[in-house]
Parts: sequence; C-alpha cells; structure tokens
Amino acid sequence: MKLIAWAIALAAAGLSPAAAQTPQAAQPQPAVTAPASAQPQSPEAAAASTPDKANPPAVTTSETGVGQALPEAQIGMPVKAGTGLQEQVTDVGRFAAGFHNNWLLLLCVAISLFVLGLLGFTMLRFRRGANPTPSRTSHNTALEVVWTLVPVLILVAIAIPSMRLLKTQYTPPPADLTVKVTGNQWFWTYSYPDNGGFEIVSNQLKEQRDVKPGERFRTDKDGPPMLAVDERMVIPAGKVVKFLVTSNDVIHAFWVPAFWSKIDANPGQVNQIWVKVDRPGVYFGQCTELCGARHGYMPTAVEVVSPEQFDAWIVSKGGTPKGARPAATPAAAPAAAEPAAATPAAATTAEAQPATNQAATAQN
Amino acid sequence: MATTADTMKLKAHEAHDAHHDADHKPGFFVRWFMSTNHKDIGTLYLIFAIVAGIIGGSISGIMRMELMHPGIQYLNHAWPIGAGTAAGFDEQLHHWNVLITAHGLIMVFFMVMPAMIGGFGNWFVPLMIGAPDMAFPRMNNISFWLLIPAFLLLLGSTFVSGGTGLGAGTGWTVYAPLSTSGSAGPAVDMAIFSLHLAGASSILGRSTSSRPSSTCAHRHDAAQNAAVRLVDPCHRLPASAGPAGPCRRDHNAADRPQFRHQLLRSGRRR
Repeated sequence: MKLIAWAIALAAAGLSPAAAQTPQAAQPQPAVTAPASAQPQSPEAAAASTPDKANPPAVTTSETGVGQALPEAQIGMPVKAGTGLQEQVTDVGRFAAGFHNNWLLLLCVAISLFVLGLLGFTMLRFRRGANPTPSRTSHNTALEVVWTLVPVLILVAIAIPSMRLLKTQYTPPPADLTVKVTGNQWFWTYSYPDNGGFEIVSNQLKEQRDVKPGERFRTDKDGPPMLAVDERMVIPAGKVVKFLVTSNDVIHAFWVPAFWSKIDANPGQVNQIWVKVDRPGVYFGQCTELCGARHGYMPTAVEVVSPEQFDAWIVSKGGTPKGARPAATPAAAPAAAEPAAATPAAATTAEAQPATNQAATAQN
Repeated sequence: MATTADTMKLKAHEAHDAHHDADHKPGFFVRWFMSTNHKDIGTLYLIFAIVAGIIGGSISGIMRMELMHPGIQYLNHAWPIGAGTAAGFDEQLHHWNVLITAHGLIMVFFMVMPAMIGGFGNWFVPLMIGAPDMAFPRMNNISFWLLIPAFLLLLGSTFVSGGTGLGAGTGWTVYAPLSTSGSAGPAVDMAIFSLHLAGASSILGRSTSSRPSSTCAHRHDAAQNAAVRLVDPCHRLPASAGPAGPCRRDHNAADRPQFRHQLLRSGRRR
C-alpha cells in the first residue's frame, strides 16, 4: 500500500506543473532581449550592433548592410560547452522549449527517481535475509490498477501539451511572406515568389586557409565556422513567414534550431513550415538529412531584419517589395516609400499584425 | 547426410535402452556447421553477434577519434573497413558516411538482432515452452548460415564504388534517391542484397519457431502460440527486407523514396 501512496503522490506532483506551464511559456521573452543590449562583448561587437538598432539607411550602404548583420554570440548558434536547447525566438519554439525544460525533463527525472526508489525499497524490504519464508503472493489487484493507471496518466499529461504544440505548428496563420527553400547537393537556394521570384544561392563560407588568395573566406562577422554562408536568407521580423521546402536532388532537411523548425526537403514534393520571429538577428542551422558526401557542409543562415530593412534588401536584390507597384521602385527612395506601401499589405492579412510590429520595434 | 537432427532422433530412441550415452556430441564439423540443435545454433548466433559487435564498435571508435579534433585526421587513412585512402576531400567525407552506414547496419542487423532473436531466442524459447527443439531445426540452421554471406556482402560493399567514393554512404536507412540515383556503382546494391539475405535469414528463423512441430503439437499448442507472440518482433527485419527489393530495382532506374515509405510504415524512424 505504501507503493500506491508513492504512485499517487508522483501523479499529483507530476500533474501540477501542467497548469503552471502556460505562463512560463511566455516568460523568456524579456530574457531574450536583455543580453543583446546589455552585454556587447567586444568593441567590435558593440560597434556593429549599433547599426542594427539605429536607422538602417543612415548607417549602412544599402547594398551591403542587410544580409551582413553581425551575429550575436550565444544567439542562433551553438554555445560553447552549452547544454540544452538553443534560445528560442519564435512563439512555437518558446512553447516547445518550455514544454521540454519545465515539464518533460521534470517528468523524466521524477520517474527515474521513483523507479530508483522502488528498486532500493524492494532490495531492502524483500531481501532474502529478512524473508526466510518467501512470499507466495501471486497478484495484487489494487497494485495492478495503479500501475496501469499511473502510466496512462503520465502519457495523457505528455500528450495534451504535445497536441497543443502540434496544433500550433501545423495550423499556420495567414502568411505575410512566402520563401521557397530548395535543397541541393550541397547548398540551399531561397527564392521569393512574392517579391518577383528572385533567387538567393547560399553556400557555406570556407576558412581562410582553404581558399585561394583573393577569394572570399569566413570571418567572425559572417558567423561561426561551418555555419557561416555567403548569402543569407533574409526575412522580416514580426511577420508570418511561410517556407515551402523542396529539393532538387536527394532528400535534405531544412532546420533552424532557434526557430524550432525542421522539415524534410523531398524531391518532387513541397513541404511547408512557418515561423514568426520577433527578434532581429542571425540564426544558423544545418541540413539534417544525410544527403551525400558534403551533408555536413550545407549550413543555413537566416537573418531577421525590420520590415523596412527587408524591403530595402528586396530592392537591392532586384525584387519588388510587397504592395509596391513595379513601376514605383527606384532603389534610391525605399526608406520613405516602404512604410506607406507596406502598411496596407499588412493590414489586409491580419488585424494582429500592427501590434506585433510594434513589439518588434520596441525590442529594437 | 549426418546432421544433429539424425543424432537427436537416434538419441531419443536410445533413451529407452539400458545403455545410454549421457554426453553424446557429433564431431566438430557436423556439430557446428550442420547443426540442428537449438542450443548450438543459439551459441553460433551469439558468437556471430559478438564478432559483428566488435567490428561495428571499432567503426564507431574510428568515428569518435575523427570527431575528437576539427578537420580530417583519420578519414584519409586506409582502415580495414571502408577503403578510404581517398585522394580528395569529397572521398574522405564519403568515407565518413560509409563508416556510419556500416556501423548502423552492423549494430542493428548483425549484432542486436542475431543476439536477441537468434541467440537468446534459440536458446531460451524451446526451454521456456518445454519443446524439445525448434519446430524446423534445419531451417533454423540455414537461418543462421544465411547471415554469414549477408555480413560478408555488407563488409565487401565498402571496397567497391558507391558513387562519390568507395562503399555505400547512404546511412542505415538507405533513403532513395540518395541510395539510388545518388549512389552510382555496386556498393549500395551489395549492401541492399546483404539486407535481403539477412531478411531471409530472419524470416526462416521466425518460421522455425512459430509452427508447432508434429511431435509436440498435441501437448504444446498453447505454448507454441506463446512462442509465436514472443518471437514476433523479428517480423521487423522481413518488413525491411521486403521494401529493399523495390529499392534495389530502383537503384538504377527510378528515384522514388519507396524504401523509406516502407520503413516508416513498419514503424521505424531515422
């Protein structure tokens, strides 16, 4: 009967965090922004992170500014000697990370300790020395009911948040922007069908020792070794971005850990995943489906910028910002024209959009 | 032809006679190479699994050594498995894929399954259900001996071309089109045929334990049914051997991820 008490105590203790979880999921948001502004780690980093926060056209030369932002240490990339999940920057990711850190992990630890306790208890209580006449117990109905019900309850307690996560992942809100992501052996291409269909070819940057003199090589401004690319995918902050993912040759998989987004890129098939990233920055990922010799050498880098910067970048790549007529796109005056042009487009999609835009700019 | 089945039959008759040999064993070759004794076959399985496990584990050791430092230190060596003395960077990287593929396939199909199902299954199922032996002892024997050519084919595949370099660098899941149009050369064919043989071996091994033999059917029906359920997990390998066929046919033609779909259907994931 002590066992039953133990089991019930576990079930009760295990179930309570489920209620407390929802507020926790939203909590990390301020924590995300704090390190970015509070700890510029080197003078170089400080200098380079200012343009991000200031008015972009004033500081950067329009051709090179967007798509060249300095990655922040600890964000959107692996952390040296780090453990656990990357800092999540999407709502889905924050929910999922909270689910993992504050619920699944606790459950794992609790179950392990409980089983360990049971083992110890059994070894002690039912040891041969203390039981000269062996027990002839064949069954215990109450115990059987408990060891059936408790696992069922544990599974239910895991299933409910899982289903919530699945539901948010696979019911995307209306997309503000669509990016077609195509896997190739061994690089990614990103095309922007909403903006004239231009295509970005994204190759890994080699180290200095591996390139001929005069060729471009990776610097710390581009990102960490193995992850930095020559041309990043650029998406606007605070907007729902839909990725249509496919492949030109073999199966690849598109993955950005900080977005909690991973999906296979199958040839002859289009898969879909969506993200809404409020926090500008650079986020790195890798191909996650074995795709041949250089599978480990086709990273993904996504740069999230303000919608204004995004439109300027679109223009610099020869595309058409959404809402703007093709005639009205002299590259010189995007800063003035874009906000006006972009607002009606955003307003048609979702009423929640202006609010999130403000949130994004507030973080800047 | 003298097999241990004959010996067993003789022994069963002799058991009623006054003179009985308590520890009769056939000669070495007949005992170990033509065995129809579930315990001996189980022992063979266990020995095989240990050997395969050491080979697969060594491959893992090579990969760990490589991972210890950035850059390439070991993939450019000529290891016994994966003849990767590779001139080019791509060949060295392909060598990694060959190692990880061989490691995965060996550990799953040539260590865990032979040990669990072949070794322990052979040894313990008849004892536990009170049967004198497996229902079809000779089938049990060929089930084991099919594993040997299967394993040799897999190891041999690392010495022939697999597209970018020598060996099949497809991952143990052998997803098309990387394993078909993406890996020219005979290496993937050999690896898939190896899975075929291992699958046939597993099917035979399963059948032998899932049919009640004539000698014990009247008494052990229920027990034999228990054995069917007990050994049913080895359903899994046939389930992957089946789709390996289309995959092999596809290898030089179409590029549909059939093998993968079949794998997913049988509940196995990356």
